[in-house]
Amino acid sequence: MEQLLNSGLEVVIKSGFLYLPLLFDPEIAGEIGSQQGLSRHFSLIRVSGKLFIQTLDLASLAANYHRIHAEEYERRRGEFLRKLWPPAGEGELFLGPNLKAIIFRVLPHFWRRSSGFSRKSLGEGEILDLIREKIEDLPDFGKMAEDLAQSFAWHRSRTLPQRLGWEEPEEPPAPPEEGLIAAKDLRPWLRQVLARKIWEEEKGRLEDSLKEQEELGGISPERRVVLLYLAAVGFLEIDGFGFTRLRLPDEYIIYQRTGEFALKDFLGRVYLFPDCRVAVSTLPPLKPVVLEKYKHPLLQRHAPGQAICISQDFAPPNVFSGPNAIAALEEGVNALFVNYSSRAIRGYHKLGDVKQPYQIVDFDDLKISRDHPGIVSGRIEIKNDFT
Amino acid sequence: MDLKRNFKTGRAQEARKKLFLPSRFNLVSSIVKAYGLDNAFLRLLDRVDERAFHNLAKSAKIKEKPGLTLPLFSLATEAEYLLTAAIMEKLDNPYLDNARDPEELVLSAPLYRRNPALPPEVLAPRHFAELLAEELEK
Repeated sequence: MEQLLNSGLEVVIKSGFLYLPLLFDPEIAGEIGSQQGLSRHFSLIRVSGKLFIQTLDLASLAANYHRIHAEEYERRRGEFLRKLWPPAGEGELFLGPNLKAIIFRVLPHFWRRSSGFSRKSLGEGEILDLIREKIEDLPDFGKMAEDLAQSFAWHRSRTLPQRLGWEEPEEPPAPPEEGLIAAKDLRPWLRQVLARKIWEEEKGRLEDSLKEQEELGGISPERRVVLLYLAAVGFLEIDGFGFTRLRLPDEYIIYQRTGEFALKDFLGRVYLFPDCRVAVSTLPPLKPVVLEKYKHPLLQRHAPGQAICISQDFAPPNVFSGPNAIAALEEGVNALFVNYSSRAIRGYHKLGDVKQPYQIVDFDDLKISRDHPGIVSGRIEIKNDFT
Repeated sequence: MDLKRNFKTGRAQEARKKLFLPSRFNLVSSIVKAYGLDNAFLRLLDRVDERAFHNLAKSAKIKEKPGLTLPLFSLATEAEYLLTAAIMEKLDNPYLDNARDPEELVLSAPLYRRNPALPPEVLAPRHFAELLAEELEK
């Protein structure tokens, strides 16, 4: 669009459509050569002796500008918002939908199982109470809770209703006057119409944010502080389940610890695998990975951040949601626990002495005896011992 | 039997991929755009005579053929289209297909008049001024 506005071309506006000068080749010239031919083409008009062809609906151009020229739109949006809204600080709290999904959907699923709670589902308030019990021991929680009370007031002040009462931009002007104009004369209209669009979007976003604030205001101050604490620190680990903020404002890594476990090889020898974190991120696709430097028959190398070789029946979800994150995490953990079979060839490597030429990972250092105290006491389970 | 074979051969030739050659309009219009030609060029075409051709040819006995990027299809503004059509009408000759700059456009007509049998293999790599100089020396 910028190219057109800077082109020095003459364009025609008619019935809300932008008409551009018609370009020619012999076929086009032959087709419209006769007056009869010209009258057949409703999209062509002749103005000041020149032919123009109908191109874009200006209203549609304005409505879809963010899709057609995404980068330019973002730049304009940034410029417009800077005038109205100071830039967000590093410490700004953002209680986004992903964080809420993690706290209220994913965390209770793993937590309840490992802590032996009854199967009844917990309410949001109860979840916050349980988290509060766990985190009250943290050294920085008390001080941060005080800070957050002030911070919360500040946060509310930024989204108070009067902020929504920004001086409303004037109604977007109708498309420029009909007729022959220079392309650059479209620029003021485009600027105004985009400003209006951005203003409406931002207003909608702030109204949603305000609604969230009001919901937050409805819960008790103790529970509210827990929620704000989590939003502020962006990190939590309870009973082997945790999440940590990946980047602002609302992207996280969610993980589940495997704890120590054992696998056996074809000859029944046992290998002890240390604890590791199986994680998925809120950025799709939700593919389970190991966070630590780790080796396992279902991992290609001995390195951190490797994707786990999961069952072909499981397609990593392309949308983040609580149930999708739970499914992906469970798939990853279960793959490490039970997908390796000492008899079938599955995964990248085999446990045991048989070395393939391409096998670059060795598991000899993980070998333990069946009389290992952890195995004998039942603390460490041989996950693929189905006999 | 021969008829059947003839049919088969004919169909096989029809089905074969044909080399895409840019149209003459595409070529002339690309030169018009690349060199920003206008109606002054048309007036120049009216003025050049045999003496001018001799001078042009002599001045460039060895001249490199210029490069020209051709689009697959050319679309021109109304003014460019009218100028292209006028140049093609005025210089109507098959050597235009191998011209790559305005000088070659001008020289295509006298070169064709002197030797209309030059094959594309000769016209494509060599500048028309060089070829015309050779023709004038004959």
